[in-house]
Amino acid sequence: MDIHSEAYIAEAEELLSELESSLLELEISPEDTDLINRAFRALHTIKGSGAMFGFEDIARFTHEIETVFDFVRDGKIKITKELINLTLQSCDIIKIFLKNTEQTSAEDEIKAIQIVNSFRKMVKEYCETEIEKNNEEIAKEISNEKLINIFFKPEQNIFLTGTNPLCLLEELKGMGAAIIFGEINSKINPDEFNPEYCYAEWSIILRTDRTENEIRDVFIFVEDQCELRFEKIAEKEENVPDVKFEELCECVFSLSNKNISDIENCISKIRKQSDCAITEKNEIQQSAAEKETEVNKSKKEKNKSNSAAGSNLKVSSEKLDRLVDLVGELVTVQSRLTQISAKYNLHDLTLISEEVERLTTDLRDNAMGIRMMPIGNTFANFSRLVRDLSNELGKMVELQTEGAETELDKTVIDKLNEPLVHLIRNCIDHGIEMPEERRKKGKSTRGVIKLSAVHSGGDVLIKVSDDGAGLNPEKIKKKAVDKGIISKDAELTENEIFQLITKPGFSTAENITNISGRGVGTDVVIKAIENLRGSLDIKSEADKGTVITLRIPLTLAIIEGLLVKISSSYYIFPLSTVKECVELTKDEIKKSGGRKMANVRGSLVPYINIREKFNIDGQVPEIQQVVITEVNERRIGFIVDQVIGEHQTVIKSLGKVYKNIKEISGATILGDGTLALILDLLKLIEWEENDSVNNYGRLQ
Amino acid sequence: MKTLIVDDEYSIRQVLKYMLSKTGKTDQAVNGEEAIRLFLQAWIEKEPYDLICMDIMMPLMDGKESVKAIREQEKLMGLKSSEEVKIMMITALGDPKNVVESYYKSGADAYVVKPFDKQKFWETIEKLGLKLPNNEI
Amino acid sequence: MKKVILTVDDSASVRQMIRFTLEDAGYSVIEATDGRDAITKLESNIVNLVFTDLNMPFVDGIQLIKHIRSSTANKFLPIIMITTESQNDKKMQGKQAGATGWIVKPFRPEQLVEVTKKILGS
Repeated sequence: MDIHSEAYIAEAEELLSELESSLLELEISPEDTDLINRAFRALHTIKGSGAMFGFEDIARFTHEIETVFDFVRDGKIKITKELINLTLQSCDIIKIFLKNTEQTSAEDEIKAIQIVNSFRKMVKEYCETEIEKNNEEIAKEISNEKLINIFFKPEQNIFLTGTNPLCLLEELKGMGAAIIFGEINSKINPDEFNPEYCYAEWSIILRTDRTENEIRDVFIFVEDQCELRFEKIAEKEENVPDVKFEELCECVFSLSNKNISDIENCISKIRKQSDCAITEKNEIQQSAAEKETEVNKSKKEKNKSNSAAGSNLKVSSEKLDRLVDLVGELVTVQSRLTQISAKYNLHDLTLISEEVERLTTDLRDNAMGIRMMPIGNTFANFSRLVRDLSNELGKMVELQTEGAETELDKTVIDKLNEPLVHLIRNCIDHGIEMPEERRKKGKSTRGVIKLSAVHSGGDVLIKVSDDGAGLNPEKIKKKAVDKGIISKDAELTENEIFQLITKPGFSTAENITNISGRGVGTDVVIKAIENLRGSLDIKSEADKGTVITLRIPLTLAIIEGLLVKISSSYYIFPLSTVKECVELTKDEIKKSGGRKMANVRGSLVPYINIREKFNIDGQVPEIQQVVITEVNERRIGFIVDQVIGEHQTVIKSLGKVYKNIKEISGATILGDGTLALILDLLKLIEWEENDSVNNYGRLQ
Repeated sequence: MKTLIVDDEYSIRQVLKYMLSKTGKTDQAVNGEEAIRLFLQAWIEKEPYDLICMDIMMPLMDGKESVKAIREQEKLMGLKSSEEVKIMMITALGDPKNVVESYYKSGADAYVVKPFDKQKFWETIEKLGLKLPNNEI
Repeated sequence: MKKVILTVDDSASVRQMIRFTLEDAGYSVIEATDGRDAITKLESNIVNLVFTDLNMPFVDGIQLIKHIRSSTANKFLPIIMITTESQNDKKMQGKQAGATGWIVKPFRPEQLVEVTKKILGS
C-alpha cells in the first residue's frame, strides 16, 4: 500500500472518531449548528479524500450520507434518533471498508446497501413535501405593478446614526417611477434650529413592480427610527391590460408639480369616479418575523482540543519506545558516573557529573512526559458503548466522566481499554437494574455509571462506579463454596468476599449473556491489571451500587526507589510507598513475643521479615531496619539489614523464566553493575497473610 | 461550464485554455490574488466558476494558500458543498508531498501532473462530476 | 474622487473579501485588524464608510462604534456592523450605540455591494 493510502486510512480513522463523537453530542442537542457542521465536514473530507486516493467504495457510500447532512445543514431535514443510528451504523461500515479494501463480505455489502436506501428515502420524503409547499407558494409571489403612496418621516437625530435619508430616496427611485415631495417641519423655531438634526419629512408616490417586502427593505436599517406609512393606491392585474390603472398613473404623474395633498385629493376623486382596484388602506403588517429558534445550548463545554491549538506531530510508537529505552540506559550509566565521581572526589569531575545528573533527570521526565496522554480519549469511546449496550438491554444508563485530563502512559492506556470495557459491561449487565425495578426501589429510572481518574501518589486511581443493585456477599460466598474456590468454614471480610468474583471460573450470573456472565471476564481484567503492576479494589453496598477502583502505577519504565540491603543482596522499595524507617533491635524483637509488631511512636505496626520469607543466608545484624510503608491505606513494615538510600531505577522485567514470581516485580542494575530486585509489596503482604492463615489453620 | 485558469506561466495557460475551450467560458489569472478577485467578481455577476485549475507553484501567493483563501471565502459566503467550486491543482512530477498537503490542508478536489496526459486530464474532470458538453475526450 | 471604505475585522479572509469586492466596484479600501487599529487609521485617513466586525480583541465593535460617534470629525460617519444570525442582542447594542446598519454572515459579495450602494448612493 502506498504512502498516500496509508495516510488516508490514518486520517479517515481520526475523522470517523470525530464524527462519532459529534453524532453522540447531536443526540443530546440536535439543533446545534456547530455540531452539524463538524459532522458534515468530517463526512465531506472522508468522501473527498477517498475519491482522490482510490477508495471508490468509501467515497460513493459516504456521498449518500453527506447528501442527507447537506439537507440537515440547510435546516431542511431534522436530526432524529433514526438518523443518528443510521449514521453510526455507517461509521461501522466505513471502518470495515477501511480494513479490507479488497474483500468486503457479502453481509457487509448488503448492510451498506440497506443503509444507503434508508438515507435515500429520507431525502425523497423531504423532496416530496417540498414540491407540495412550492406549488402553494408559487401562487403568491408574482409581482404586479402597483402604485404606492409612501410617507417617510425620520426622527430628529437620525443623522447621528450615520444615515442619509436622501440615499434611501435614491434607492426608492431606482425601483420604478417616483414623485417625491419633501417638506420641512414648519413648526420649528429658527432660533432653536440645530443643523445636526433632521426636520424633514417626505411623501413618495412610487410606481413599481417590486414586491412590498422589497420596498420595505429599503428602510430596513431605520424602521425603528422613523414614521413610515405605506398605502397601496392601485394595483395592476397580471397580464391584463389595465386601462384604468394606466389612466390613474398618468393622472397622478401629471400633477407632479403640485403638492401631495392635491394629489391625494385627485386620487380619491378618481377612485370615487371609477371602479379602480380597491385600495387596501392599511397597515401593511410586517410579516411576523420568524422567531429564531433558541439553539439548545448544551451545558457541556465544547472541547476544542489539541488539534486546534498548536501543531501536533504523529510519531510511531516504536520510535517512542526506542527513545524511552535509550533514556533508561542513559539513566543507568549516569548513576554509575555519579558513583564513580563520588569515589574519586575530583572537583571538575563532580561538577560535570552533577550537570549530567540534572540533564538526565530532565530528559527522563521529558521522555516519560511524551508518552503521557490524557485518559479522556479512552473515556470518550465508552459513550458509544454505553449507549449501544443500554439500548440493547432496555436499560437507561447515563455515563459520567471525571478527570478526563488525567495523564497516563500511552501503553498503559492501551492496555486499560479492554479491562474497562469489561467492567462497564458488567455494570450495565449486572449492576444497573431495569427501569421498572429502579423505580420500585425509589431510584431514578436512569442509572448512572461514573468513570473517574485521578492521580494519587505515584499511581493513578481509576474508578468505575454504578448506582445499581450492588453485590450480594451471601450469594457470592455461596457460589464460591459451590465452585470449590473457598472452603465452607472460611471466614472472610466483606472485601475479601468481593475479591472472590475476580477468581477464574467464577460467575453468579443466572443468564450467561452474550455480554458477560461466562466467568472468563473478570479474571481477564485482573490479569491485565497485574500486568500493569496495578491492583483492583471492590466496594459495594446492596441497592446503592458498586465501586471498582483500579490503582495503576504511573509509569512502567522508571520508578523512584529506596535501595536496601539484606545480607549481600540488594532490593528496591517503590519510594512512593515508603513512609519512614526505624531501627529494630534484637531486644525489641524479643519483647513483642513472636508477634512481629514494631512499636513506632506508640502505635503498633506489623512487619514482615523478608529474610525469613526469602530464606536468605547470612548473619543477622544486631540492629536491623524496618522500612515502614503504606500500602492500600495500611501501614506495614519490612525488615531489612540496611537502608542505603534513594535510587532512581530503570525497571527491567525478569524475563519469561522468572515472571511468575509475583513478589518481585522486576529488577534493576545498580551503578556498579550489581543487580537489585524490585519488591512488589502488595504481593508480599498477601503472601504473608496467606501464610498466617495457613499457620493458624494448622495450629487449630 | 465556466473555468478559471491560474498559472504564472503563459504557455500553461494557453494549453489549458485550448484544452478547455470546448467546455465553455475560460478566464485567466496569473497569480493567487488575481484569482481570488476574479472568483469574487464571478459571484457578484451571478455566474460563479465551476472549475478552477490552479498551479501549485506561483510567486507571491502560491497555489496552496490560494486554495485555502478561496475555501475561506466560500465559508464566509455560507455556501453549500454543492455550490463550492471544484479546484484542480496542477503539479510537477515528483511532488507528492505538496499535493497531499494541498489536499488535506487547503481543500483542493483533484490534481493533475504536468506535462498533461489528455486522457488522465479528462478522466479527472469527469470524476469531479463536472458536466461536459458532447463527451469530450 | 473615489469613496473610501474602512474594513475592520480580525479575520484576514473577511477583510480580503471586502477589499477585493469593493475595490472592483470602484471604491478605495483601507484595512484594520481590530478596534485600536481602526481608530489609528481613522485619525490619518478620510473615510466615507466603515464595515466592522462585532467580536474583536482589544477594542471591540461596539466600543469602536461608540468611539466614532463621540468624535467630532466622524459623528455622522456611516457604520455597518458585520454580525452573525445568533448575535441579536449585540446587534441591538450596536444600534443603540449609533450604528447605521448591519450585514449578516454568511454573506455573498454582491450583498456587500448592495449595502454599500444603499448607504453611499450610487
